[in-house]
Amino acid sequence: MPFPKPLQSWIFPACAAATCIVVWIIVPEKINPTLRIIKTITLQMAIPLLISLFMMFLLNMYISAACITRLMGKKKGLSGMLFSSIAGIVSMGPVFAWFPFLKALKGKGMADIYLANFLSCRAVKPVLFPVLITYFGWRFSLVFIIMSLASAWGIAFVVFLSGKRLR
Amino acid sequence: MKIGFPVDSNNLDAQITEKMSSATWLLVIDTDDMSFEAVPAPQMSARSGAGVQGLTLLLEMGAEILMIGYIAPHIAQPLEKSGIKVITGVSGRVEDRVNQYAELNKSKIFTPQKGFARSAFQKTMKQFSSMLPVLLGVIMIMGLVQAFLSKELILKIFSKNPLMDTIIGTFTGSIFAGNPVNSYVIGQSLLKLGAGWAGVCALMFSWVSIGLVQMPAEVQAMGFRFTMVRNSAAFIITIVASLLTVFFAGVW
Repeated sequence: MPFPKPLQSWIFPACAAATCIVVWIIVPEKINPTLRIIKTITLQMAIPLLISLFMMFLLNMYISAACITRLMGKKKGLSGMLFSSIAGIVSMGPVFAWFPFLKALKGKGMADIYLANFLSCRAVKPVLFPVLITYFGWRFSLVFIIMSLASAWGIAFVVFLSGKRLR
Repeated sequence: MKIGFPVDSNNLDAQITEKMSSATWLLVIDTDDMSFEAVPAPQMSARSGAGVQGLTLLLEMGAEILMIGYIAPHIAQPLEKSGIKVITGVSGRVEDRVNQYAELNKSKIFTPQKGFARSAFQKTMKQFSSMLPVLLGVIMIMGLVQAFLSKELILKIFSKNPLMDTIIGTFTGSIFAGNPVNSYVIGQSLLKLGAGWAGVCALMFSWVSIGLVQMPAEVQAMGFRFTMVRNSAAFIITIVASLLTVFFAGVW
């Protein structure tokens, strides 16, 4: 019997919850750390998720698909890369908090290359530079940051190429 | 946005024809960059129904909006139902009409109509609620994985071979997610415990750029092909970038 459509999206979280229950039964000492980490992650993503929600609202309210395609649509080249890089760098919190917003952007016509660039550029966090430098020193930090940005652009380029080949 | 026109020549100066059947060319313009594609329109003499054939051709060329002088309502209705916007009563130069349309759309950005906030809010909540179940699932799985993966366990699986450690570090980092500062803290303590730089560097790179556990959420938001290509590319590029980083940073 097919699963009712509104409930289909709940299969995955139900399986995850079932796994937690199984762990609780088999390895009871691990359930407390698991719940603690779940709580930490939920708290960590609360603010970014609210920001993402607010931005989705603004997007649906003020920005048309034509505007998104003009800024970050196909063939926007360097300006699109720059926009998506900055957006990725300034975005905060866990990546999955941004997925609903990115889905909305994709729906409005944002090209895959810029979506991939946004996701990868999240590795570069200027506010964390002092921590990085304190822990690993100037030289390593500088190379690490440059490589993070270069990797992000490389990943975006591969996504772009794959899209072209499959078209 | 692609706009389709029945026209009398194959350039942006072409005049829009009154009917589909009187067009000699069909033009589809991408408003992003004003690039266009032109194909000869089906001839009336070839067989009857040249108008419908022309329409089919425009849709095959990816037109999302149709601008034309006149189209029969019984043809326009099914087009509108399938998401194609039909604008009738249009005449003149193609380029002028495209610019006019773009200007009109631009002004819409800044003047939301009454009741628009409510519908924008409803749309936002609908988009968000479609993602929520998968996000909840991902959080639970991440909690489980991270509870079982201790620093000591990660250290045990490092092999002291830079290439092997890079692969292991990339894989391990891709299981975790969250604030990158956590990867710096774990990375530094792993270095203190004797792990190699290459593996630690790969772990820090992949922490943010690859998401193995959050893949269901990424698939739901961005699609299966995008997720697979992006994460696979990130896996390989992370390995190369980590090796280059430790080399150029002089910590090989």
